[in-house]
Amino acid sequence: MKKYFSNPKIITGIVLTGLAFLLMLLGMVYLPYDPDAADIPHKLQRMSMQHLLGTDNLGRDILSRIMTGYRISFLIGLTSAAAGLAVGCIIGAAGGYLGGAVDVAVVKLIDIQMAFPGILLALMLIAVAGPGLHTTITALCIMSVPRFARITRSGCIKYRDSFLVLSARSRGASSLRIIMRHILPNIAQDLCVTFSLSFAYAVMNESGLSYLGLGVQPPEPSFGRMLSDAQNYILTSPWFIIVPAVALAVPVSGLMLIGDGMTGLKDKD
Amino acid sequence: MAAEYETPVLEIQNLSLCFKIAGRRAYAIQNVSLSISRGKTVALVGESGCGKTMTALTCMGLEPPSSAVACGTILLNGKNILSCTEKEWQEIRGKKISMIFQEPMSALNPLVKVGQQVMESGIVHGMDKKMAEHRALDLLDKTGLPSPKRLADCYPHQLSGGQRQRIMIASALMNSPDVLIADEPTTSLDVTIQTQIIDLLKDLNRTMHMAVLFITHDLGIVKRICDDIYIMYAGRIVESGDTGLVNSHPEHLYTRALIDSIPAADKRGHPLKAIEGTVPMLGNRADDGCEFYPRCPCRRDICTLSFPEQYGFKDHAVWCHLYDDQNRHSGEHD
Amino acid sequence: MNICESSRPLVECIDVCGTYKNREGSIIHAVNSVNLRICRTETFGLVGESGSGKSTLGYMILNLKKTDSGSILFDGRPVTGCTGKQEKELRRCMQIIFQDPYLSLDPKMHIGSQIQESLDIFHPEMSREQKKETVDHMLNSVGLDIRLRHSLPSELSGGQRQRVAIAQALIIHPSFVVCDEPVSSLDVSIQAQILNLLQKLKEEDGLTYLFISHNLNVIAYTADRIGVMYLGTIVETGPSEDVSSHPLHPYTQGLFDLSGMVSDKNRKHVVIQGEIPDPAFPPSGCPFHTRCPFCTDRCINEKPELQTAGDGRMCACHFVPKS
Repeated sequence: MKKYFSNPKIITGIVLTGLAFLLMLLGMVYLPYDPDAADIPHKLQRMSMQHLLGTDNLGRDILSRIMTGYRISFLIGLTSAAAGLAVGCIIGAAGGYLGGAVDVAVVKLIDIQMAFPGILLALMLIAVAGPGLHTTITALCIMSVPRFARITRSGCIKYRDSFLVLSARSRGASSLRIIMRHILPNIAQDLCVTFSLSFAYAVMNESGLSYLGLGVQPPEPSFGRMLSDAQNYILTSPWFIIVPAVALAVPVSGLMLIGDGMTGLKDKD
Repeated sequence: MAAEYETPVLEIQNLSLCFKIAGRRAYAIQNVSLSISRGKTVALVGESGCGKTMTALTCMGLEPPSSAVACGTILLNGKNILSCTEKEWQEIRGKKISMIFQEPMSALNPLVKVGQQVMESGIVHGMDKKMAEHRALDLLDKTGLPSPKRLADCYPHQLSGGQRQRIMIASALMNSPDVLIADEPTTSLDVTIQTQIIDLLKDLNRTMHMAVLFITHDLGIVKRICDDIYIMYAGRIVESGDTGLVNSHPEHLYTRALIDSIPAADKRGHPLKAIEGTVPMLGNRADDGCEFYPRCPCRRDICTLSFPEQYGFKDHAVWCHLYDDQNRHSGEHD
Repeated sequence: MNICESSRPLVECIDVCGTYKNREGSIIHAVNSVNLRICRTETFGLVGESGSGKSTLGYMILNLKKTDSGSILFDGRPVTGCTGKQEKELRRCMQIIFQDPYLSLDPKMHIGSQIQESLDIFHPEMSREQKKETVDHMLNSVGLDIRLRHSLPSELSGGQRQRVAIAQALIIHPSFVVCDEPVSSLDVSIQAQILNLLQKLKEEDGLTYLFISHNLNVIAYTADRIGVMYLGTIVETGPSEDVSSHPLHPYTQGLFDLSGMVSDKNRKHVVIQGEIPDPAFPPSGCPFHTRCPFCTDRCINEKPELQTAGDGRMCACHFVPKS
């Protein structure tokens, strides 16, 4: 445990992600302004004491919108990464541990899914089911499944014929017990790294979808939406695009640093 | 029996290797002295953690890492090599001193043909290609490999464990080194192949007139090949001398316990005389006193205060306080 | 055969064959028509070099590896083809101790939990306190401090880890234990401790051991009866004293000569030449003929059967007289 908390990358990552997380938590109890309240006379204002991060093209307080936007990002990021973890582990474990025809099917499934550019898959899903929160989460979950499935599968293959598993089998352990109690804990580090990165990708991809207008719909504030609105004002009100961009980058780079730091530690082991 | 006095090829004098662990000094090896003459095989025997491999690696300049300090002298043909620079070491390694390891598979490049790898040892030290090829094939033949030309074209994974070890030996002997260090070369081999490799080393030792340092934990092998034996425990030499003498009349209690604990058919039906406890790890060793104290059946208070003096001569020497009285009476020190 | 006369053998292998595919895809006949009987409360020592199939046979007896043909009986009940509940019942009675405790212990689980796992599987009705008590008692039996239950395997020495492996195997009181090279990866002084421990536990619990090793000294010391395997075939069996002092098969003779155990001064010293053949391409006739100093044409063409050759002894060689 100690080695994790003394690694500079991980610490920086925790600080950045924590910052965004705290802002989000704060936003759940107190918001400086109503994020949807338009205030046209005060539109496109610079940072000031009244509006710490300025206002957007409809006079809405950017800080409040960011604090609420984090809610969506974290919710979507966390649920899709967690769902991807669960589904991916089940599929990967089934293929890796059972082998044979099941494994062949799993590999084909992963390959097909990875052959599709992620966003394209999401677009197809949205075209069928319509844009919105649930569709976005489902699409992002599907995008993250292959990563988890691959890791779980290779872990199961590695350990399936090991003395560790042979010993557990000889003592009457069922396959489920072996996977849950022996294999998964031994690949937990890899899974955590992937979880961290998947979380980051999900947040970014969600912004991408909302930028295209296909993610969460207004009036729910979303970073992608904010960036899309701010495009037209790049030269006149640059903070309008810079501030949400930086606000998005903070948790994303934080999560990626955590993942990177953990990978570095694993390699050192 | 007066031994012929020959200048030893390799002479280690009071070699110590000191690490810093959690702020404390910890000696991986302490005051190790041994000597090997041409045509002789010397065994360095001990269990894991005793420092025998570290001693060997220090002779090759592969220890100490930056975290350790080495002191003492290692004389190769009279010259102290411990103080060599890395450049000087590169001249010595593979040319004057060669080493073979326990696992030949991890020392061989899986992507390069074995003949090529053997030749490389020569080429690296200035041999021209034609001569290297000729010598490599000659050595492959000398190490008992059938059809050397065909085998030289194989990759390591196509050979058996015994064959790979023979390749390693050939590779180590390309430049006719003065000293060959063999670190547990037969431990991972089958019993029938072990004997072949040991007999091969014995043979080469004689014909190539070099000094061999044989590191092992197996006393059985030592009897078969080695002239002299040095027993190590927790970084120190505790007994040394002629192999036959030490085996038939072990004087240090660790040596006796080691011999007693080896299972044999005639010990059936009785529990083995096992030594309780384990070798103290590097961080847990005392600076003074004998490390075998907690496991010794004849321990005394003085054993915790100071490490014993040498009792006996070159033919058979032991470091144990049990012989202090004899030392005092005879007043002889070697 | 006059072994196991008084009672039914605990373990019986009848014409057992086992194969596996190697990296290149060729089929290796790891175990070739092996017939074996292990009696209750005896230690049967199985000795052989790499490619002999001794470990594979051990795994097959435990149903950890599929038997290709033949049958294996444990206390009269079939082992081969067992699944589900029947297999679990068998597991309760048969356990294994592996060679390398660095590999067979879970690096992420505490020692106490690993030893307790067998209780979790076979005795779910036991309470937490009862399980804890049983684990502590087991730790004591194998000579470990009960405070070690909270340690990870990486914090223990090789000898301690092997004791944990022994505790894992014996906590549910099996009747038969396969010891697959249990001391080969340990230092000499620790070997002796573990051998003594295994003997003590055997006497306390009335266990039966199949002791597999390539070390002849260990086998000659530990085993009541010895079986020698070469390239998947049993070439000799017999009581330990008899086989050690008067080995019949040239391979056994060569092995004992190498280990320095020569008691029959009249017998010529046997030197085994050459390499062990690639198991994917086994020799014709007698598998040992390529290295045997007494090889004749008959050996090249005809594989010798394992036949009785004296009191409780069997040998598979054309030149050992049948009795």
